[in-house]
Amino acid sequence: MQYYVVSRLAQSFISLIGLVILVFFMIRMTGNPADLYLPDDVSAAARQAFIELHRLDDPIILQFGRFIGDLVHLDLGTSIRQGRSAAVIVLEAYPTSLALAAISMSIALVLAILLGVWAAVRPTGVVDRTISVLSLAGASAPNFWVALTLISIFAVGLQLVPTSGIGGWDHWILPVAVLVLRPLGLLSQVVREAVIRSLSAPYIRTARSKGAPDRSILYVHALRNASLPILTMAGNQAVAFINGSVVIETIFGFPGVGKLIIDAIVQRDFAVVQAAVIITATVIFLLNIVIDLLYALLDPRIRHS
Amino acid sequence: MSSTDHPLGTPPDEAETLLTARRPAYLHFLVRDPFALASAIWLLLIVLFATLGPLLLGDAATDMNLRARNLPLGSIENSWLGILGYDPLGRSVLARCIVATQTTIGIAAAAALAALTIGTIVGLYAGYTGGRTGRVIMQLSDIVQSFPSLLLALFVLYMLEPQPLNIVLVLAFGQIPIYLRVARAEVLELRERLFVDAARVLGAKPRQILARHIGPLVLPVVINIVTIDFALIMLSESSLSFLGLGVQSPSITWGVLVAQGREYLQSAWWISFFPGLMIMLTTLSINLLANWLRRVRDPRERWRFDRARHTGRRR
Repeated sequence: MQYYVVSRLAQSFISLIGLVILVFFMIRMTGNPADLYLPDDVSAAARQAFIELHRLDDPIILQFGRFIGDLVHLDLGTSIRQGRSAAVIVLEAYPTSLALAAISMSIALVLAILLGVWAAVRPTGVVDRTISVLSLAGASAPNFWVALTLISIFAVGLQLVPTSGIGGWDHWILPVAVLVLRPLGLLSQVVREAVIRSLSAPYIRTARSKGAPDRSILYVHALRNASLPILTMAGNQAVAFINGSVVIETIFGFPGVGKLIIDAIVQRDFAVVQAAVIITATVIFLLNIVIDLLYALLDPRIRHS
Repeated sequence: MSSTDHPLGTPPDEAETLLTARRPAYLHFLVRDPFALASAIWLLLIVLFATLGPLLLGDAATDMNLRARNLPLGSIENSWLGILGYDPLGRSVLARCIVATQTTIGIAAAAALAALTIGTIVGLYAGYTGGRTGRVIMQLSDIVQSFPSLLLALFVLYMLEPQPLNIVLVLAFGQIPIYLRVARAEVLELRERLFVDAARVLGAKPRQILARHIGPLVLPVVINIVTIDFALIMLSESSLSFLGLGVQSPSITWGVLVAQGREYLQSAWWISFFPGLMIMLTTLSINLLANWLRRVRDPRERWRFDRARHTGRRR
């Protein structure tokens, strides 16, 4: 168990370091940072001053050393738009995104388990086919389009909820509804498959013959064994959430990290983009650790190996 | 007596149905499944749009008619192309949706093919050689996979120009790990087989073994994945286009069209609704058809179709 956790930790950590190196060199490969940081109409003297200030003429190995040195001191550079630490700006945006992700993911997970188990009770029945097609449709719809459609129906047409911005709880309804859709579609399929597979296992027959009620067979016996593939998919979807939040936060004007990244890209605020990428990678790194620990918790084969 | 005639102990007609059932009659099964049939028809339409669309409607998609600005659905006084309404420059929404098919499908197909080729070749190599190189390759693929693909694409396209080639490469890059992983897993299993040993003993070089003996067996597995992956790539491309980092005007994809209609959501919802619907229907059709194909090919599932054919008989 300890060996498993430690080795997974080491692996994810190597991945994290790899990504940081990748980010550093990708920036350098695309040209002089002076061109990225400074506006196009800057004078040659100012440009030279900038290069000297940041010692961009140094050998790449020295620059890399400084980059890592700054990173160790948690210094991710300064935003040229706001003149503040880029790391602070990114960290300020994170709570909104995390709340959005946590709420959507919990709703998606609960609904997916209910729908998936319902569909698995009678495979290829009417309920199953309906849920299958609907969940596929949910996973197939482009989220920005769903968002725009919901806005034009519920915000513009019926005027039930605000179109965008942040404020009361009603601002959260549409973004959460859109973000739930894709994980719900994918997860309910996984739940269905996993429950169907575990329903044919001998231990289910045992449970049935000892007289366990149907509901507890489905939700306790079968679902428990189906929890590993569900966890895998939920983990993947949690990472994919960052993709979704970029689009959804932009449309709904949510001050989260997704909108921050897009704004920083449009404003060419390079330090913020870089900080957001590195901090996001760290968040994913932590998330992977949690998922690995959950694996070990759920699967005795991993725990005792 | 019958057991000597038929060693399997089954009457001749049953044995015959068993034999014919081995090769699925795809068309027959397709007609039986309304969802799969509708998906197949829609995808055929999409292929038609992609090949002939720009040729037939290229002009109609760019012709501006300021008197037709933002005309709603069903404005067919001038031409049938107005059935889905007009955009703010008086261009037909239907024509633009159809013409955009070529670029949308083209970019997604190119990216899927690139990811398939690179991922499979690297995966074959990593699986066959194993050792340290194999481990490093897997570690690199882990890094790529553990990072949100859209963020990576935004990051790269922000620094490079959003040209079609860059978009294809960026979209492909995020999908390579999927093929790499699958190809590697297949090779790990296949390389222990007898025919590979035989080839090795006969003096075949690793490259020959991979290309001639293992590759052909891995190919169907990765081709199975590419259908679903194509749909995923199309979704990513549309998100990129929507955010303004996809193809640049005058080229149009469905994602670009949705983005263009965003400003007119309050007055003319049809401008962004229909291109988005095209994306969804196409992705959904691909998924439904892939699911159907898996069921038809899987002998454990096929009995469901068979039972529909010979009503009342149970297997």
